[in-house]
Amino acid sequence: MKRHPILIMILLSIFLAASDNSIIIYSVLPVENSIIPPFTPINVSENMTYFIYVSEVSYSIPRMNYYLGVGGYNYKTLYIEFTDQEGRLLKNVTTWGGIIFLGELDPGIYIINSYGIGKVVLALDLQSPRDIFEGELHEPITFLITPFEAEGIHIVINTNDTVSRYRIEIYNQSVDKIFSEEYVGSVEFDFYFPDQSEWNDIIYIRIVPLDPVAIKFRWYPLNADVTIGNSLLYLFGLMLFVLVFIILLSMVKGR
Amino acid sequence: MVIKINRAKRLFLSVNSLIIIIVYIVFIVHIGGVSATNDVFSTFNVVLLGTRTFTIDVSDGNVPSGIAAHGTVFYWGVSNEIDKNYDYFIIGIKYVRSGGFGFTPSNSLGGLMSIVKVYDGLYRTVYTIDYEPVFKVPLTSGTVTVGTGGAYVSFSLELHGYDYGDPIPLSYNTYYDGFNWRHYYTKADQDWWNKKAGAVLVKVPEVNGYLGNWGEVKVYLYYYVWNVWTGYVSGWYPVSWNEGGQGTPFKLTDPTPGN
Repeated sequence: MKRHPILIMILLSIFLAASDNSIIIYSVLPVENSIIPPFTPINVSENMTYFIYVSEVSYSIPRMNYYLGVGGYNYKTLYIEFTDQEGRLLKNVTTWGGIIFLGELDPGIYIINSYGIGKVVLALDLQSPRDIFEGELHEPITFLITPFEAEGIHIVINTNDTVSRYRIEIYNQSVDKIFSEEYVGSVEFDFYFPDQSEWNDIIYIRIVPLDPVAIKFRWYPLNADVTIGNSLLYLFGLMLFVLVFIILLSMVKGR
Repeated sequence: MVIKINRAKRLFLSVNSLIIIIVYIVFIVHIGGVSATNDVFSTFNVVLLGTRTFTIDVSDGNVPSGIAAHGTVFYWGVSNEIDKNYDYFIIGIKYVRSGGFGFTPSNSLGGLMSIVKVYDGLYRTVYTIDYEPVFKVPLTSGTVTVGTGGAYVSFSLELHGYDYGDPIPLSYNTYYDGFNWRHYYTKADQDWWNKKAGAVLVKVPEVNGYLGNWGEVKVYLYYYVWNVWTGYVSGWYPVSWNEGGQGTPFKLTDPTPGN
């Protein structure tokens, strides 16, 4: 791959020219010269290069930040580089289960260089529990969420019809698949992480449309020891309490 | 008859008031937090800017050899703060025991120490806003939360812990700050803990909402075994990102340029 970047670029350009304008993220394996579907976890190997094309998106999402999730095997680290089309290094990481924060990416071709054996997955930022994603899916999409210290997650997906099929896949911090299930129409369920002592602080949720489907997706952590502090809630509670107390007091005195 | 009805109503209202008071107390306990800045209070989002993962490999035979623990350092930025003069960052560390820590010899004690330093590249003052863990009594559980009231990251401590965190004392240099996190060497709790976590929230200056040539986060953490009879300390297993050791520090980026 590294020896024939121009050839790969030409092949990739031909492919992209033939594709539609929805979000497209493709990787080209150097040996097999195959194309990886969008937002799919990729098994990477030593000294390999992968091409990714990011195009315009029309989804409704709170932040258009991209993440690259990187996982190793059995705590063996791997080094990953993320470069632009000219090979200029944008971000890198050495990890067995971490992320590269890519921020907002301009449409274009990007390159992943892998030095080690592991897995990578491109994901969109949906890390906050109240974040809502809305869009029509024709291709798979992957989200990074951060159920920090939670025992599980509650998933809510609303679809615009009751017949569209899709699959939900969940990956842990090391980009290992821990859940996969097919659904039809809207669904809401709890998923408890199989290994509570391990790495569930960063989770990737991949939604694979088996039919074109418009979805609204959100999540929240289960049994997390999370203290949500919010001064407005505090003040609201205080005011509510005082108001109700005064009303009750006046009612009692009025008797 | 009328008196009986009034009494019943009063009793009903009193019970209702009592329930409301209890609900409110529970509300405060569970929702209320502490925060040192209105800016953080007014915000809500945090953005994960990066991670560093590590393993602590014990090899000297003083404890069972192999990976004693592994963990992750998390770097968050506050994504929607209002004050253009400052940005906020949360740095969290989490260890998970792999086996070695739980079997320290009976005549020895083990310890963990972590130091997190946040540097400003322009030598401006860095402020510690909040940090955890705090001292925990063994056999009690607790949740530590950094930056409550808005931007928040929360950790759970293990049930048996003697963890202590304090800010790095101000020296003649104020362009870095952070916290020291010490897990005291007590055999009782080191035999049982499963995972540990701590975090610090810092405030760093900006110019018109931009960090400019900003600094970095240096993390230094290590594990050691101390023989209480001989005083012999063996097995220092450092994990370091440029705090007297290997690796490069984590470079924080401005999550909200212009804000």
